Amino acid sequence: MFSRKMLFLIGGLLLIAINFAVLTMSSRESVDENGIERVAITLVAPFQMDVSKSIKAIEDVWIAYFCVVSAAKENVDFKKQLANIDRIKSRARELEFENNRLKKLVNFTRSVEYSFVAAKVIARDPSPWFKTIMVDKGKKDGLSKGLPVVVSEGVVGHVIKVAPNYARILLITDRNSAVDSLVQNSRVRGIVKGGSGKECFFRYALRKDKIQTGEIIISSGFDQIFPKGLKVGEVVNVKKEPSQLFQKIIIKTCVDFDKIEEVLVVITDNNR
Amino acid sequence: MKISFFVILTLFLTIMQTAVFPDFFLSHHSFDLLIINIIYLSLVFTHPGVIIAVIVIGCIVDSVSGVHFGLYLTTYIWIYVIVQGLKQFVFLRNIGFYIIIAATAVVIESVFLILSVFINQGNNGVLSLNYYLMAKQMFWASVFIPLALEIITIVQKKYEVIFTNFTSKMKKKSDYT
Repeated sequence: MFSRKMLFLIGGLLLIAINFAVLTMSSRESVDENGIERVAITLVAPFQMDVSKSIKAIEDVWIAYFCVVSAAKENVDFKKQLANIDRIKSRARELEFENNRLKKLVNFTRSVEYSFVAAKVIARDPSPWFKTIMVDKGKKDGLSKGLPVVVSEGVVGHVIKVAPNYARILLITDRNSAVDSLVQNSRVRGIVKGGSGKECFFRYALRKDKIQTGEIIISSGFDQIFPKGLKVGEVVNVKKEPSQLFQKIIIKTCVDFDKIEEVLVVITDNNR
Repeated sequence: MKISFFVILTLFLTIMQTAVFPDFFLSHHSFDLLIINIIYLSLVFTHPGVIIAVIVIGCIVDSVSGVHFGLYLTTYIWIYVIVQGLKQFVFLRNIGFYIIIAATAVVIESVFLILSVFINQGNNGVLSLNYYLMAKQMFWASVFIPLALEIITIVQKKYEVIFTNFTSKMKKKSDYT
């Protein structure tokens, strides 16, 4: 009755119609899940869950690994930044100290009428027997032999050797140094001489002169090297021996020569 | 090569002594570091030209120090002469010999320094503290100079290897170009 072709066409159309009908019903959830579906779900779902969990776990590990890698990189960067900050902080502190010292020097230079050349201490005497320092200013900067050297705290010494760019300064604590000085209150005159240690001696003060510990020693200006009135030191020990004409007076210098970093060379009128 | 090594060593020791060591507490006990250089030169070389190196080092230290010019120069020449004399009779790698030389060198230098102070200021200038300082310096020199001599021997050998490699490389490069 129907040709073979016709049968295939009808079959095909019927299949499409059934497919549409099933899809329509299932999309409207009008059909209850059947037993096959339930079994299939029960069988597949655990695997699905495990696989998805595994994938999630791998994903987590992967992410965590990258996080750790990036954290490690960041850590290195942060450490570098921290080191840099520490360096800057240390530099800032150093600058702050330097600023304070220079401020003191500037205030000091304003308070007196001389002109100064500021110099940095670059080296010290190779021998512990002698007390000299080397500074980074020399003949080119107007320095010459015999010029006094001071800091805000007091007298440092005087220039003994001058090179074009450097100069050597004999400190007042050196045994070869002598500063004509006065006791500030009693105006007793004497010579401040260096010893072999850090202390100095106030020499040639007569036994009759009254000098007490704690008194300040200043430069007298009579030696034609150091300007008058600069602090030299403080009396720490006075010894009077009946057989001696002079007192034995030990003074502590106002300047801490171990920590000195910058100095001012006084350009006096004679040297201009 | 050897000259360049000793120029570098002299500069290094001078800088250490004048700019680095004074910032540390031990500077007050420190002996003259250039003595190490002088002893090493005197021990290792027999060439009479070494005396010129000793004179140059003496002049450098005299210039950077507050002492009267010639004091270190004289000291170093004496150390050189004494070591040259002593090494004729002793096995050179003997540690005891190093210790004796180190202490002797410090004594020679101290004697010259004390003599210089004595000439300038008489007996008053030479305080007991100076002898104490000399004793301390002798002790430290006896400890450190033998050690330093060993270190310098090793460093010099390494320096010679590096220097030879470097010069041969430079020579190859210049031949190539």
